[in-house]
Amino acid sequence: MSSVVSEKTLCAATASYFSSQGYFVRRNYEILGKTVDIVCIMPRLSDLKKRIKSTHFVPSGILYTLIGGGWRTTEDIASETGSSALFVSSALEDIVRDGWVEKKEEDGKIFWKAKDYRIPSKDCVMAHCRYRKCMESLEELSGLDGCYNKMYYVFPYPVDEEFIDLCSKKGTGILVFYERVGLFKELLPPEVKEVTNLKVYANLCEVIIKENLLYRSIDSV
Amino acid sequence: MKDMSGRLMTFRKGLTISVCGKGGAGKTTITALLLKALTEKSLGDILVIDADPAMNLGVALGIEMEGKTTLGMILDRKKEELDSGTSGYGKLMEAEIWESIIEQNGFDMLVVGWKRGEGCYCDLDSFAAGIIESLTKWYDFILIDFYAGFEHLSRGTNKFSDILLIVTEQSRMGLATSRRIKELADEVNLSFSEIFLLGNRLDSTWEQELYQFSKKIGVNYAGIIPHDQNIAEASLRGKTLISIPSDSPASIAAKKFLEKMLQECSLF
Repeated sequence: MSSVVSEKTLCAATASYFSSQGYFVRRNYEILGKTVDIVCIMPRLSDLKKRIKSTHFVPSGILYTLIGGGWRTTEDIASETGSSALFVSSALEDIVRDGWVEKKEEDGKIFWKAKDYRIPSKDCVMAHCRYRKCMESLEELSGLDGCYNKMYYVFPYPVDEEFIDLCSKKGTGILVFYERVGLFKELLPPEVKEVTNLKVYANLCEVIIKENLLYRSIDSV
Repeated sequence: MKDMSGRLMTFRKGLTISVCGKGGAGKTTITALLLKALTEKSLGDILVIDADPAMNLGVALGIEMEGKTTLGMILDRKKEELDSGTSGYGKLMEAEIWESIIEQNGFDMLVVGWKRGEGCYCDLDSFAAGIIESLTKWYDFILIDFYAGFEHLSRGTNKFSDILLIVTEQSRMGLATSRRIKELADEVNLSFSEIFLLGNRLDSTWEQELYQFSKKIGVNYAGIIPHDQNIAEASLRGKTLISIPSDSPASIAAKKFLEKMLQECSLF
């Protein structure tokens, strides 16, 4: 086992692989108190363009409450997000000009509605490379259902039938990385799951996009 | 142990279709008809690239091109900045290219245009090509309307295409050009998965001849797009080809060809 690629190198190779496929990638991302080795989102061009133009960070932690819904009061949103009404109001006020939300006043109350906001990703893949403690990690990652579309476990060597069956039951895919030839093989395809935790999902998408755009805008020459 | 039975993870890539042929053969019309067929089927995200300096595709798609930024304009500006030492390559060029993409209902469009500046654009061209190649990974289908001639083949501009669609009109010159395109593609080792020959505005008496010709030059026969009054009227009135009736003869033929092409590529 000593000649096997390290977890850190495996992680870097996997991140590079997904990045080369058009995904925006982030390593060591903490979600719901768990650290995920690699989180990848597939952006849409129109969403990227809006975020480049926007002068504000998109307050996804508040905006998610308005996705797919109608008009909601400031107090409603504050109660759902656990923020103060003042904070909600000022955060949403900031992004009215960017066209993300609409605002109206009725009977002395302020109402908000998502106008042109959607979660800026059409696919979210998570990958885990901690093969030395795979059973524990697999269990731990189960709690993240609803925050991604596909989950992979990445190994630097082929795994046995027992572990494949276990992953299969959980809907987790298995990728094998052959370091010598730089090749990834999908030993088990992942189950495509629905994203239900919009709060977490919206936040991770916004953070990953923001950070990737920052790196991409640094002079390369 | 199941290590050898896994699926090889290759690069994610949408299906790229390059449309080429003799000048006046109807490449732009065919690109528009294929785009219409693709959007009607809602098969995924589509990027259409107008690589013809004449920039007629926008008109055919009903897009107002006045004031739109082309890739050529971005490269001209970037070259000026580089020549005067005021900018690096990477900063914002990617974002500028993203920004130049025109978003329409059901598809996005990138217009290449032309470059006005003098001197060598090789570095910038190659840099832009890298950005566009990475951009295409966000799309399921990429349709490229190329200019007449062979330069894009000899320069390998469409080396990443999966399908080369040669469009010919009802003329000996059209067929001769199609043959030369096929020969050049072989000569410069462009590895298209499939090469198709499509007859445009052809009457059915030519169908058999075109089929035999396709076999002779070693390309797939794609069929014919018949003469369609709806296209003639739309072109005359400056209307978008996207709006011609879906049951018009050309539209039906384009859908039939698209299905055939996707089947050949095992995507349908």
